Amino acid sequence: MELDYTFMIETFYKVWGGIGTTLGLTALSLLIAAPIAFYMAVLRIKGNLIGSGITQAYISFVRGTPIILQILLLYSLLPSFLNVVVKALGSDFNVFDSVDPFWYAVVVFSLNTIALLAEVFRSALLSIPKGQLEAGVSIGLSEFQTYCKVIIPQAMVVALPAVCNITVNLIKGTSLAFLMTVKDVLAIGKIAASYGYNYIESYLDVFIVYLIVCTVIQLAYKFAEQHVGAFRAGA
Amino acid sequence: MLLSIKHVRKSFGDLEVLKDVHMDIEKGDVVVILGPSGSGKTTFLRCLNFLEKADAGEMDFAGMHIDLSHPSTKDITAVRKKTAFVFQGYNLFANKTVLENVTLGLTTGRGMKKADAEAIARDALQRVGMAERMDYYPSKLSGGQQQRVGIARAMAVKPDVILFDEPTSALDPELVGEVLKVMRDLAKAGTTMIVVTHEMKFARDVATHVIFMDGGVIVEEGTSEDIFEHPKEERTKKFLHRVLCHTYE
Repeated sequence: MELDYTFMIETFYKVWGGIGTTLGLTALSLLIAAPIAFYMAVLRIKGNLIGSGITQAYISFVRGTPIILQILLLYSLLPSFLNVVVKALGSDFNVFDSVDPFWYAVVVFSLNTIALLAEVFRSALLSIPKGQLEAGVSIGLSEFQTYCKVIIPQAMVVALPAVCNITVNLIKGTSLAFLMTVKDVLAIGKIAASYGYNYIESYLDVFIVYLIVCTVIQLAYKFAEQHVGAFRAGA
Repeated sequence: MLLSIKHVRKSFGDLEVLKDVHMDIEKGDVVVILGPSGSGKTTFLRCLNFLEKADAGEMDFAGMHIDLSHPSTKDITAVRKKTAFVFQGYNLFANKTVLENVTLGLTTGRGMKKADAEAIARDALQRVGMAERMDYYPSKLSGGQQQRVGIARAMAVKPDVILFDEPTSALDPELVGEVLKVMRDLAKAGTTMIVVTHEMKFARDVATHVIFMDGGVIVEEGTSEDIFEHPKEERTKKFLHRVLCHTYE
């Protein structure tokens, strides 16, 4: 078997160009999901019956269905739904032509990440001993202040390894965005390959790009954990 | 009267742990609460600053009259700002350095400027002999050192009264002394303290008032001489005999 190295190197740069889309999708989804997930975690811990019930139903819906199905379903549903809303508002904005599918992908991956992060945040917050809150209020801090200054910073350190997992899985998961015609790393590789049937070269490029990105992200998280977790005994 | 508390009741489910407990404290008093485990002394202490909510009772403290069964958030905050608590398990803020542990109640809790708070914290840490470890995280300290920081944290907010919940019970025996010494110094300096403890020598030497609790009631109270030399109640005598002679039959 002979690999076409010239093609492979050329394509590598093309594929590498898709990294903005992949990372942008990942970062946006995480940023949108994090505050909502945190709020859901608090609702569940506080035992707010309605909020807790809705959150739990939502989490089991997301966990109980394959992400590819969520993508296909929302990609069929969202544009039509948006179209109805836009029409009802009396605008002549054309949803089907003017909305970049990237934004549908952001919605799908955000919705998915919310459910995963909510559980991570909940267990992280619950892992902080009750005495920390008691100590805070005993010296005149409000519960809210104690959460902001003491409990949340500690819980975030606990959550970091799981958040790293979610991030790396999200980076890999965004490759499914090509189903929504988003031109991410994988989509660009596929398109480049299809001109001359150089699939192996192209897929190897994609493989290397994902490997580099995920390795860098994991190292970054490890570094962050060492930095913000310096207060722990083992650190 | 600095603090007066009456008719405190508290149940956990069917178990009544406090049955009509009362206490009066003058400024500068060192009240030691003794009693076998399960007698309700820790619960009583925790009810004083609302870490535990009493089912009934009244409190007069710093010009406030509070119904303990229905305290307003404002009352709870006011009481907590005028008291401090030293925990059996230290409960230092794990993500804060020793210095930050002591300043947090001043800066975040009371809006004090950082520099002023640090000056007070340094002084408090000096007094407990922990000034050298200001930049350490609690995980790097021994139990005795952590508890001394816990006491400095309580002192720094200049409370009207400091509540101590078995401050030496979680310590290795050789570390108990350093913590008790700090507490003796505090008492000597005129700090008002309520101490739940099993340290009989400390109680005998330092307490201005000793309360013996058993089964959720105050069985007997008086000066340390009253309780240790001339106990009247049978239950007090038995308890003292048991802990002082170390006969655990």
